Amino acid sequence: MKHEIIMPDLGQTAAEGKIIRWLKRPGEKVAQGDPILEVETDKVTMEVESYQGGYLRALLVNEGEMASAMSPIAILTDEPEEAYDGTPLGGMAPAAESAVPLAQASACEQNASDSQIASLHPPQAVDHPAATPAARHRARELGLAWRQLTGSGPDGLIIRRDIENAWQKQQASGLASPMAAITAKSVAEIPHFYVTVDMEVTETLRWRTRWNEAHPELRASLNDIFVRAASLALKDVPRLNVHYDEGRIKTNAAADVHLVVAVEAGLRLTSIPDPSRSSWEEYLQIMRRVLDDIRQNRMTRSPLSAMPALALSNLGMFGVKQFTAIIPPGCAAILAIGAVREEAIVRNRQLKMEDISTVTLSADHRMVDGITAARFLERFQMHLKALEQ
Amino acid sequence: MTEAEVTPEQKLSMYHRMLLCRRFEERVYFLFLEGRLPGTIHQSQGQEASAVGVCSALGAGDMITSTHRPHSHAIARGVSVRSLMAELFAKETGCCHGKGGSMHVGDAKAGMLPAIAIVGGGIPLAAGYALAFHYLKRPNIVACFFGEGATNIGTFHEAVNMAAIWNLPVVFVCENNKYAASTAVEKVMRVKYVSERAAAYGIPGETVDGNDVELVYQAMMKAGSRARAGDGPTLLELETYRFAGHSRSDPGHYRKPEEVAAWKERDPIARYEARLLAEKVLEPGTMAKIKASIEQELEAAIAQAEQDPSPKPEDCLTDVFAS
Repeated sequence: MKHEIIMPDLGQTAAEGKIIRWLKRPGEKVAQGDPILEVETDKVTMEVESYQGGYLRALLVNEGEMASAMSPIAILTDEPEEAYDGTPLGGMAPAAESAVPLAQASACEQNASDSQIASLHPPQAVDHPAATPAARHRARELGLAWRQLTGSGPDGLIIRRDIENAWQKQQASGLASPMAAITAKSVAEIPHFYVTVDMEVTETLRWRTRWNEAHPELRASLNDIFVRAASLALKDVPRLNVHYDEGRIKTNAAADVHLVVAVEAGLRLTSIPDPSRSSWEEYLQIMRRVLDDIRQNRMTRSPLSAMPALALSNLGMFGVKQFTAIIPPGCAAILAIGAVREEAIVRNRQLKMEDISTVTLSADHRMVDGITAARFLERFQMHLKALEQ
Repeated sequence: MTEAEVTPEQKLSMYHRMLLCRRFEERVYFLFLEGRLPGTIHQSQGQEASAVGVCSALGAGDMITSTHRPHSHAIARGVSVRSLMAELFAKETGCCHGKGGSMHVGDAKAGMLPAIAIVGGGIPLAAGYALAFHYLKRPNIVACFFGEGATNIGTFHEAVNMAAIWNLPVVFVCENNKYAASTAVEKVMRVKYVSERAAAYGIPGETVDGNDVELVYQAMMKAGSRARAGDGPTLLELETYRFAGHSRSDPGHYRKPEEVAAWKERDPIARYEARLLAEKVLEPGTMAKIKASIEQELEAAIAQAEQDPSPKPEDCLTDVFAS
């Protein structure tokens, strides 16, 4: 019989923990009460005993990774060679024996015997310099990679001034360098996956024509509509409205959208606070103001308390049919919007003319799964088809 | 006065109770790891002899007060395992109707006030209950459990002093398990024994091996008789050790593995079991029967607790205020 071992709820304030070390290897026999892993919670590192006896077959979370309380972290079976249904997490490949590389496996054995001594000196698992919350917050706002910085505070603590200085240095050296740093960091750190859908925007274009006839002084661009519809879809699918922060998944309070804007010198990122909250008039005015500020190189401080989960990049105006975008650090996903084109669609054996825009969502697989991405795109399409006045 | 005689029936009963306490805690621990129980727990594996020894010296109508580590106290006092387990599962059938949880278990009808998790919080309450017994001329006493850490709390001084000047029928039972959460007692106390502090209040103080259930029982009988006779409180210090961490999220890094191992050698249950087998009070067949009945009782309590209903939202204000 197969038994899933779950991550116990050991934290004092957070319902998750980091798996420091597996004390048993796949294949090993485990008795009820045997220490099976070491967990670092928000307060302490501790050994956790197995509440189930059997043979350890698969480790579902690697050493060094976070696991939320009550989520399965290992699989045991009653018999050593027993076949078991082995797709433990929706859509993710089972992390079987390979989860503990062999080099580490021998270290495991050693650690198990040394664990009593080791337990007197809990490991200080800090892999980056300390930074004040204000500094981290500012770094997030600026999309600045703060972990590489040297702090000027006590004991090398990174303080807000260090972030501002680093940002100014980056600014002075031109826009290309932050883009280089940010995109390189993203590609290196974020496990991207991509979902592409042909969006039908015939209704969207009709709506825009009607709107612009009625509001010649406050015209809506396709981009404006995409941003607002994306925000609405984000509200429908809160599982995408998350960000990854120092190993933790956090849900955002508001459905803000991060916009990639091209300026002459390069690319700029700006945040649009909850584009679907206000009326169309108000929203379009906010968009005008933000885009003007960016284009005239006026950096406005973002009023957002958290990094938006979703970014949006639109190359449609350049006739690009389809592209994939790199997720800005701190975001969970980015929409890459292609140009609108006319296509002949066969539906119910009828030939139909539709306006189509191919949209690709790049998502961070640490936080977002394929189903969530697909659901988001479905809602996005729905909102594009049914725009309110 | 002469030591109280411990009959073979009492011996078996104390052994059974201690084992029930231990197995209850062990089952609860795994239920927590499995995620089947909510909340937090402070466990008492290793301290069973003090709980059972003290409570075995009490009668119907007596009262105990307890701490954030109350499971063994409750079982030793005879609060039903079913209602304790249901309380840990936060079910309506729990001894506090699912609203107290692990740190507040108790049942006044069974002779245990719901536990107070605030360190030192139960001490004035015990003195107050003893004052009520005295005032109502009841023949009963209160046994007040607390840890050695609580003796550095202001309420200890105030309540013990007041109980002493009024000769109240209360026994102050200090379970000295050497650590106040992670703080070693010698770091925060200049006297060697907690019982020495009794001198400050003019009452007797005694230190007893808290891992020997019969010694605990006899010491408690003596202190209890004194209290019942109207001669006032005693400060009883029971030297013991908790095998588990302070709470479910405490790995106990502050204790040397050799120290824990040495105390496990003095496991109150293993020691007593060996002694009773040697005395032929306990036969292997009886032992197996006791163990099987405990497993059955716990299994039934868990199964029932999991099925029992949760408190209803509309009842959230009942049982929570004194009326």
